[in-house]
Amino acid sequence: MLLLYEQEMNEQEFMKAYDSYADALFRHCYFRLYDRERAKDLVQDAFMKAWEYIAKGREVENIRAFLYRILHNLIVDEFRKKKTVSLDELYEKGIDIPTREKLDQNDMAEIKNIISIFRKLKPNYGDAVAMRYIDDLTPKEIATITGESENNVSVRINRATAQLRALMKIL
Amino acid sequence: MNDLNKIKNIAEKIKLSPQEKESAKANILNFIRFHPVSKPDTARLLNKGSFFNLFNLNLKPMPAFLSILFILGVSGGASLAAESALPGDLLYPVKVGINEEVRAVVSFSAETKANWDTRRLERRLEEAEKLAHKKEFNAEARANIEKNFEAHAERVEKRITEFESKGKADAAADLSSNFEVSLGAHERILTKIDGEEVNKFLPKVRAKKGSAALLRVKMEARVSDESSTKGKSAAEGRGKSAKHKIVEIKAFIEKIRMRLGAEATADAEARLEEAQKVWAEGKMKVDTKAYGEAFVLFQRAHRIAQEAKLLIEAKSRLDVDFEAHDKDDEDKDDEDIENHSKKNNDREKRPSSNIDAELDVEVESESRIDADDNEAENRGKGNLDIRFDLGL
Repeated sequence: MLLLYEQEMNEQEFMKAYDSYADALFRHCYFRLYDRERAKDLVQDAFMKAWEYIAKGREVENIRAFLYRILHNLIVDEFRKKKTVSLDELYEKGIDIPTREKLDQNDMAEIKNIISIFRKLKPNYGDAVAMRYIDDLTPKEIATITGESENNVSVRINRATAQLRALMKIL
Repeated sequence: MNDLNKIKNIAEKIKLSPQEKESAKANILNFIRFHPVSKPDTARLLNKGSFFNLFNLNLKPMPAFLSILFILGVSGGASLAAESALPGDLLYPVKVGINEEVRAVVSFSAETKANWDTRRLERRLEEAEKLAHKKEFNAEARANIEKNFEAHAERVEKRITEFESKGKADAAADLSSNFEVSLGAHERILTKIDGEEVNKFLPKVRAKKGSAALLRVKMEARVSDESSTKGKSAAEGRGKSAKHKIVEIKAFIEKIRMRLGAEATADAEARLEEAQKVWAEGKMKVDTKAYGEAFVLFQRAHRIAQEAKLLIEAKSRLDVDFEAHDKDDEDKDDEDIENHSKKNNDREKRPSSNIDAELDVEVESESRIDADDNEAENRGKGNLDIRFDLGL
C-alpha cells in the first residue's frame, strides 16, 4: 500500500511537471531544430528518460532544469547525426508553425522574422539566446544544463545578445 | 531590452496543440506504468523547488487514459519480459505483434518511424542469429522470421520512396544507406553461422541487401541532381554526421577494447581507418565543389563506420569472429551493383576467444531510448488506432 502511494505521488508530481513544462520544452526544442515533428519526439523522449532516472530511485532537485538538460543533450545528439536545415530549405518546406491555432498574417510574419534572425546567429549563440530570452533561464541554470561554467555561459550570452541586437537593427 | 522582451512574446506563439499535448502525455503516462519505481522508499522528487510545495497530496483517481496493453490483458511485466523473446517462445507474439506495433505508433515524426522500422528489421536478423548460434534455428522459426523480415523490409522501402516523393531526397538517401548497412552487416554475421535453415534464409537477406544498395545509389543520384545550394548543404551535413559517427565508434572501441580482444579490435580499427580515408576523399570533393560526389563518399564513410559498430556488437552478443577487413569490399559491392552479380563471401572459422558471449556493452551512439538497451521500451498509446499482427 505504501509503495503504491509513493509511486502515485511521484507519478502525479511528474505529470504536473509535464503539464507545466511541456510547452516550454517543445518551444525550446523547436527554436533549435526547426522541425516540429522531431521536436515533439524529443520532448517525449526527454520526459521518458527523466522518468527512468527517477524510477531508479535517484533524486532530482530541480525537475525543470533536469528536463532541460536531458532535452539539450538529445538536441546536441540530433545535430551530430544529421545536417541542420538551411534557411532556404526551411522556407521551401514551409515553416512548421502550428496551424490548429489560427495565426494571423502578422503573427506569421513576426515568427518568420524571429526564426530568420535566430538562424543567422552563430551556432552556439542560438541555444544561449533561446535559453535566456525564450525560456527565461538564468545563466546559472543554463550552466547546469549545458555543463559549462557559469562564466562561460555569461560571456556567451553577452556576445550572443550583441549579435542578436545587431541583427534586429538591420531587419 | 524592449526588443529582446518581444522575442519571448512572439516565440510563445509556438506551442503544442491541445491534442498533441494530450497524445504525448498519454504516451508518457503509459511509459511510466511500465517502468515502476524500483526503490519506492528512496525515489522522490525533493521539494526544494517551491513549485512542488503547492501539490495537493490527496490521491487522485487514475486518469482516464486507456492503455492498449491493459485492454489486451497483457501485464507490464509480460510486455517487459517479451522483449527478450525469440521465435518459439510463448511471449514472442507479444514482442512483435504488440510491443513493436505500439511503439510504431507513438512517435510523431516520419523519421522516428522510419528509424524504428529499420530497427525492427534488425531485431529479426538478431533473433535469427541468436537462434542459429544456439543451433535452434529450425524451419518454423525461419518461416516466422522470414515473413516478418520481408514485411519490415517492405515498410522501409516504402518510407524511402515516400521521402523521395516528398522531395526529401537526402532523408531518403540517409535511410536507404542505413538500410543497406544493416542488411550488409547481418549478412556477414549470418554467413559465419552454420545451419541448414540459415543457408535457406541467407539468400533472402542477400537479395534484400542487393536491392537496398540499388535503392541507395538511386537516392544518392537524386541528391546529386539537386541544385548546388541544396547539394552543398546536403554534402556538408552528411560530412558532419559521418565525422561524428567515426569519432563515436572510435570512442566505443576504446571503451571496450579489452573485452573485444586484439584481433577484433584491430579489425574494427582497420575499418575505421578506411572510413576516415573515404571521409577525407569526400572532404576533397567538397573543396572542389563536387558536392554530389562528396555526398556519396560521406555516406559511404558513414556506412563503413556503422558496419564496424554492428559487427562489434554482434561479436559481443554471439562471440563470433569475423574475417579480416577486406578493403575492397565496398568497391566490390558497387561493382556488383553494376554487374548485378552475386557477391561471394569467404567463410572462415576462427577459434572462439575468451570474451563472454553476453557482454553488457553500453552503446554510446544514441542517447535516445531505443531497443539497443536491454530494458523495456514499452510505450503505451494515446487514442490512436492500433493494428497488430500476431506473428505466428
